[in-house]
Amino acid sequence: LHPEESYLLITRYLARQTSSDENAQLAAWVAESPEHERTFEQLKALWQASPTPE
Amino acid sequence: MTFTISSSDKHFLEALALSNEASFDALFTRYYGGLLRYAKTLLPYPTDAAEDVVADLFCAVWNTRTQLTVQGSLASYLYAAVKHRSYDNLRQQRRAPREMPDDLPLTQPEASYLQPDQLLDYQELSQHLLALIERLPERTRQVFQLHRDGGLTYEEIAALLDISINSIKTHMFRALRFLKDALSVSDGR
Repeated sequence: LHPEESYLLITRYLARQTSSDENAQLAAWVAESPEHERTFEQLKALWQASPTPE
Repeated sequence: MTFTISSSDKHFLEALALSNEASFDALFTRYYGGLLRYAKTLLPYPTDAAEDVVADLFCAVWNTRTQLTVQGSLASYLYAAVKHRSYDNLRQQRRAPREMPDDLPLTQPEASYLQPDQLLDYQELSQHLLALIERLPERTRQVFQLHRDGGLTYEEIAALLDISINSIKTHMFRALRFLKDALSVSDGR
């Protein structure tokens, strides 16, 4: 995955808008390297920081 | 463009049509913040116009709850309604002379400057992030907030803003890269 594709896939996953195929693709990508895992954690942190309407 | 209505939205609307106040409260809690932020990007600051537009929309939703027909998702319906109401509001303001605000607008507090070795706790991250989001170009910020806070899909945002899905992706990627890089730097990593 290119950075653009991976960033968008991660955030669509966090927005619960991915298919199960895409989830599997993302899981494989995250498992590929510690760098990928860190990118995932960083995007998750900024996605989940307030304000979110919940 | 049409979207299929999700079953959770459908249950929501059915409960609402039966004058279920709890479902109205849930609707309000879920969407108020995001809709207000969106309205504020469309309406001039500082006025209460954005608050008025969103409050009026929720009144209208309650008053017409038995006849409400929603094509597509509830979120995209509400965001589109805020857009139309905001444009109506702007047209009215252009006709009526504008009142000058009594007070200067309140400014957002400056983002706290963090030491490189300092770990961001959740609240600091939120506050810092808020300041960074403010620095995004307007359209990019709007797309980011509609996706993250509004929970809209790319297709819904494209229809609402009348821009292509590719533009949505470009705005989202720019927003994410900027925010991620800025947070990584302040985190000392």
